Amino acid sequence: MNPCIQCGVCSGSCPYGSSLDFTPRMLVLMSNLNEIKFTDTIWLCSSCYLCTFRCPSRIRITDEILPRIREIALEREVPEELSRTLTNIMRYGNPFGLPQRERIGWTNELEFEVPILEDTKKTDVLFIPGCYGSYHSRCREVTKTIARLFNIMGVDFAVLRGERCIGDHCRLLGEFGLFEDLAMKNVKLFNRYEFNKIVTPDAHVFNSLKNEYPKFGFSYNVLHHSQFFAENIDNFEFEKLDYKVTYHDPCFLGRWNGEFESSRKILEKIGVELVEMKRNRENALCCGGGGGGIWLDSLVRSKVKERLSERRVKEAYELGVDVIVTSCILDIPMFEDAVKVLGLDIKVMDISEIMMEALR
Amino acid sequence: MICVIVRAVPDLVEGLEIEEREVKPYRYMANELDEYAVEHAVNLKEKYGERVEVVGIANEDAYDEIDEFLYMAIAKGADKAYKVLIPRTTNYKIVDAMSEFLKKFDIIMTGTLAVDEFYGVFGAIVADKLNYPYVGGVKGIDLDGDFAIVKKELGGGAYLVLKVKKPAVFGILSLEKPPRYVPFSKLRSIMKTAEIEELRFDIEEESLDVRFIEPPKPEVEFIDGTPEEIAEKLADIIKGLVT
Repeated sequence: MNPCIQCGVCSGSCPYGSSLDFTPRMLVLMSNLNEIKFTDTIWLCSSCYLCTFRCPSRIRITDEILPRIREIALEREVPEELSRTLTNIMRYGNPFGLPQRERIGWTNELEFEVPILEDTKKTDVLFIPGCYGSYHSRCREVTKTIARLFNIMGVDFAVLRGERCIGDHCRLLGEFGLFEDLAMKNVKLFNRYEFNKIVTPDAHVFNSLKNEYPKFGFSYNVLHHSQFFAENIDNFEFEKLDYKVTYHDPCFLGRWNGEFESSRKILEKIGVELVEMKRNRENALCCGGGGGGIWLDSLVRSKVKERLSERRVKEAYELGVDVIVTSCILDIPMFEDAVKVLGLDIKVMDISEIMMEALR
Repeated sequence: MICVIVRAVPDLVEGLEIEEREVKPYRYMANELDEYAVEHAVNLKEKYGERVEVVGIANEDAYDEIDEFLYMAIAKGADKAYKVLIPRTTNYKIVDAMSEFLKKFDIIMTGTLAVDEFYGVFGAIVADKLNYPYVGGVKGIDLDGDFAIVKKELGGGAYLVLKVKKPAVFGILSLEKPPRYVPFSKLRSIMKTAEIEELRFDIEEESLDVRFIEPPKPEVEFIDGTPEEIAEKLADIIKGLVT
């Protein structure tokens, strides 16, 4: 039994609260009474952590209560798009159902050779792009940009051919068995090689490796790429970019892992004009992609009037900025799709992409 | 009692090695439409308590790989799983050898097509050997006493409802509701507790003549211009094809 006082702050904070059949407050109550009612709005939560972050009783709704309810719901009716994605992860190690050998396909599109850890056995930085960074055509551009920045900096880095889905979304979806299996396989692979730190552009990969994998006997120094570049920012000489930008705080980087300043520090150094959105830092609005949301667009569209990604890009657009800068790779397709849906004239860039553009 | 035949087919995601006289898949999986047949069978079990038995057929290379899919069928609700090792032979020879075994079922289901069998004749061969009626392209099945009520897809959203006397064979093409999801932990626990019975049949080998024929290269033309210009050029090309 958790110490819920039924204050309803969670429900009031939930960005999809008005579309849910059962609000977070009711889910916590049902969980306490052990009388759970299932509806398909259980899949709407995009794990933004606003409810958990604001809960006065510190109840972990996002990553404990909700995934446990979802775990039971998985054995009932699962939306087809989710069922297919999870089956793909189980079989192919990625949500797209693409072959494992394609994972490092992006390395062939670069003008220099990217070392493969399975061959070199040893490196300083293990670069983990995650599934989106490895397979999604737009996200691969971000991955290549990061690799180019590493190359310019002379970083000793390598990637893994055998990396599988890190599994953060599986965990948040209540597919704990699959998450454990993925984690065990990845840990076994990581343990075979020598490296000093892991750098990833995916806030979910970052979160899982930092906070969840230690439970499987894995603890390395894990850095988000914005942290890595911010630490090494003095190695770069930038030309001032004539952009007015806003920065989106990814939930799993900001609210859940307390990292708000690295990207802002980089933007300051680049010298762009940074305007904050109304909801920033710990109050930032989610892109809607977390907790499996990125795979559930049909369901989300059928349940809500406006996707979170649409609300967020509108919020940015109203500031009159040229670019929404983000630092989680999942935000790129989420926001670019929303920009296309709304027909707005605004660019979406990863922090590494704006760095590359500003490089002298 | 319902029998679902699940064929091991090449996993096209992982790709194939194509040689002059042989096609070598890197990995095998269950034919997707056969898995749909499992879904329909389990639906009937849930509704009418029908017993569901699944028979996996796989060649030497796929014989171990088919297990996961048979366990998956058990996890979804099948009562029993068998597997059969098939040599290099034709569908006729396989069905010929299995026909006695298949006679104990009054409904036999399989996918209408398989990724390595686009003619869609496998179900029909089974029906022919057993002298049962066959309906392919099925998207829904219900039972009514001695009859099965099946919905056969006609395309364009239209379908035909047929009342078929059992015993009968059905080729499944689609589902009416999303397939069940089997959580990883449930699949693993089924793999530890359930058993797959191996069935042995005297299946006659028959050499298949495989030849690689390079498909003709299509003529590719890139159309440049504004969306309006591209659309105009494309419309001209389409007009040229029609007239």
